[in-house]
Amino acid sequence: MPYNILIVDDSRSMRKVIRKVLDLSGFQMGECVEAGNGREALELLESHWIDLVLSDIHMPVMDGIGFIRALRNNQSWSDLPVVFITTESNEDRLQEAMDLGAKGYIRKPFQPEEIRSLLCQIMGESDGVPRAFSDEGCDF
Amino acid sequence: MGFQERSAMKDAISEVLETMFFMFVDFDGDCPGDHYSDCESFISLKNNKGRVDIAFKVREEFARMISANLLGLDELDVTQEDMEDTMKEFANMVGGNYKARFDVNNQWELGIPQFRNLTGTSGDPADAGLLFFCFGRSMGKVEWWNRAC
Repeated sequence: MPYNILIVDDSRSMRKVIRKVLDLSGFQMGECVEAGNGREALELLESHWIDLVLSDIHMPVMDGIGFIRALRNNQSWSDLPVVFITTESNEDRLQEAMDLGAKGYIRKPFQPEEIRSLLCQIMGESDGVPRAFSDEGCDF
Repeated sequence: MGFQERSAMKDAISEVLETMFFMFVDFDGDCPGDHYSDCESFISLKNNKGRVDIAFKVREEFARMISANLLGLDELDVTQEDMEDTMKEFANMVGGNYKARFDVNNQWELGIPQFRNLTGTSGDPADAGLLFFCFGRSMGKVEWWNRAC
């Protein structure tokens, strides 16, 4: 089953890189939409059905913590899986993100395999085969 | 800038360049003199006592190379916008990585990275700096300014 993905990062380059990593890893992507900050992401969610969010924390206008807090306060998106991909190293802030229901985080710089492994866990492997990934798998 | 901070900066730059940009660089010691640069990205670390400004001043050749490597493009296809965005992300990742190496008490906050074009060498002498080399050629330098509140 393909998953619709929302990538939130103020860096256009990083959004491209994350999209490419998902493509190359065999992630079964449906629609992939991008936002430059949390506020833009909330606007996009009004008009797109999203299964998974990959978000930066450190962004102008609305950062990742404000974004996930807004998601959790909205009944429609309160269970939406969110993974942070971030330069943030402050453990208190990362714990705050996890307390708000983030499914995990990956620190930049990252190896592509880190994203694949975490998404495998999150999107389920009930029969030992990651449902989110195609047979081609990952070849980094 | 003490030995430990200098070493932490070298390690941060190397880790970011090797992991995300598939590049390896060497470093020189102090670089009191000017170094020709086409552009710079910079980022600040702040706490309640002061601020550390970090600037990455590089040749366009270097900015184009890391942009191409990050985005999987041919260097000729890299746009000015690609270079600006990549240079900002480079500053962001190195700043974050550097902070993670010394900020054990979570007292520092990383700012938002910025970019600007330069015309040759530029002013405001830094408190410390490091030249970095790629394929034996000088490609840029990182400089620090420690500023009190």
